[in-house]
Amino acid sequence: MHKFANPAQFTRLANRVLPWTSFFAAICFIFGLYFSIFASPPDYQQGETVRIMYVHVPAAWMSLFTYTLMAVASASFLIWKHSLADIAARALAPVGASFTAITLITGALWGQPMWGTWWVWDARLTSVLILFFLYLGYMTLVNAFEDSEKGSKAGAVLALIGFVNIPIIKFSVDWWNTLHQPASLSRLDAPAIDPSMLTPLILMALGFKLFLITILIIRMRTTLIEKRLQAKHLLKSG
Amino acid sequence: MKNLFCGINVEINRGGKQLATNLTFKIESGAILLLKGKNGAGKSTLLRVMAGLSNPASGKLFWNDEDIGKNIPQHYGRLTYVGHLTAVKSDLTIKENLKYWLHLHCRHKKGERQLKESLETFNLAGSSNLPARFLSSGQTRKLALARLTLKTSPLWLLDEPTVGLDEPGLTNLSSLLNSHCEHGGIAVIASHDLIQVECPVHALNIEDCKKD
Amino acid sequence: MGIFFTLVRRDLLLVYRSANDAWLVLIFFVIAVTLFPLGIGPDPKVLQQLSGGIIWICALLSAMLSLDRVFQSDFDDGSLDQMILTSYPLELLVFGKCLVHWLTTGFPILLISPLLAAMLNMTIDSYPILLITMLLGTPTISLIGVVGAALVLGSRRSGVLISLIILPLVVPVLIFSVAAVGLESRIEDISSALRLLGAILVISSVFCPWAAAATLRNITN
Repeated sequence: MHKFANPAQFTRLANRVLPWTSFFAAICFIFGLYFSIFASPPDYQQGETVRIMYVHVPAAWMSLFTYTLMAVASASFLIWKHSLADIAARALAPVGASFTAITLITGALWGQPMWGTWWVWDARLTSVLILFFLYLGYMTLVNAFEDSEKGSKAGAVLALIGFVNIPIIKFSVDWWNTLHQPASLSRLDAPAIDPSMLTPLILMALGFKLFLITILIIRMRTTLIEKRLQAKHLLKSG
Repeated sequence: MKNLFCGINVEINRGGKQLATNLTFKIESGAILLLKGKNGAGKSTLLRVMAGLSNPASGKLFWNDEDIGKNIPQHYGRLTYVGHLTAVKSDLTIKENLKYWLHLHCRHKKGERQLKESLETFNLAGSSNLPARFLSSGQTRKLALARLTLKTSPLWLLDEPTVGLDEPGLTNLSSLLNSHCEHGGIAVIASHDLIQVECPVHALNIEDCKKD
Repeated sequence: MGIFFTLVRRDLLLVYRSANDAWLVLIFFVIAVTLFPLGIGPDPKVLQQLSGGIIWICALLSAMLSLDRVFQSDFDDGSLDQMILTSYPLELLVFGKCLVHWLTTGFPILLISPLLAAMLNMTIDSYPILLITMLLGTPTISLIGVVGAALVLGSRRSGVLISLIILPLVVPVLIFSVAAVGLESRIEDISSALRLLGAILVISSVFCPWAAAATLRNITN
């Protein structure tokens, strides 16, 4: 873990890994989309619209996965004070927020043909919405300080607190949902996951994960370059 | 009881920018360390690092050969810090402010008499029931300095203690420092003004320790 | 332990002497609740159905209003440094701050809530449960809120930022409180909701002062 802490080494490693992750992400997406759109059966009840699930469900998984990574990076930052961990956390946040946005939008697109409403307060969508707010809170907090180091520390603590709270929030939202909708009919899911549906789902999920790594590497590299430029600038002027 | 307060290759930052590095000092009981440097050089930052409120970017500080970072609460217990900000609450009276500080910093409760003595050090006893909002800035600083008399601590850290003080105030501060040093105390003072004291004064100019 | 009461007494004295803060929060709470009948119509049946939710949402928002003042003035005048410089555990002092915040916001809100419940035509049976949820829930909001106040200390925009970062975290408190007060809730649901509220309160009492103290030490760094 510690050998990644060196920015120069990280950049070297990142440069080697990046072409592979982007290539395989593209492959997964191409095949995943092919299977989603053409080679998997339409749902008995929902028809073709079930295909949105192949984007919606992986995106929901990714929103949570990204937050987990953010929490791990935050913990590393607080414990070992690696500046790279802080850069990673800051880079992950907008990406995670985008995943939640994708989840919410695809959820709306999915729900509309099914129930005629653009939004449905089912457990997953509501949890993801709150997760979206957690991301927004983090991004606002880290950027609200003049001294960016203070922002990093505050954000890291908030990310960890949020992470600890996520199971509690999820539990309470699920609880709330069953309370108000005793028959769990309005779950945004295909009623039963057929094995033929599993392939595109896994492919898309894999594609998303590789995409995340690709984007993360690009963002972190950019931030490191920005910091070097900033340091040079300060040196010249001061 | 001879004490030694020293720092070795201390580097201080503020807002991510390095202010000074390779700061090394050594000060023993009965002496005063005077921090010099122009505004913004890092005197206040260094005092905060000495107080254990901030961590140095690198380097260590030692009290009697013990790294203060190893037991920060113990370090807090042995010092009194009067910073640039006075920590005076304008909605409390002078006496209430002092009483609160007394409880905050002294495990052994001393009584009314101690408070009275502290107030008299800077001639504030007459207005002890006045809300602190009615004090001038010089009087507020005197109140903050009165904190030094609430408990005996071997280390005093003072940031610009003379700001706003009148002649009697300066005299009182000098005699306070003299008495402190006579009893083996150490004081680190950041100040642009001269304070007349009878104990040895070493100077440390922060600007001499800029980045290499 | 004496220091705990010293700090609480001093902070209460400060709130009392500055006179306006505590009242403002209470007035806001009442006005906010009043907005609902104005906004959704005065139908007593509808109001009764929504009464638990309305009171709790307004209580939540009101309790957040005074959070930015919890540490701000101590931070600005150097008192926070002095609090850190004691040999007392900072967590204890932070817990004192939470208690003061609750005594000046959550507790008055709790006291006036039956009056507002009456205005919203809440069923009489729900009153005791409302008070219990307030008793368990508002301290939790103070505890979590104080962590938020510590996190934004020294930042450029404190007030609304605290609400933004705290509100998602107090959603469980809202859900369980309103569920317990709800009209059609079954007994098992009410009791499990109350128990969950209690559990959250206990966990927060331990975790929040610790998190806030750690943040405060970092802030002054």
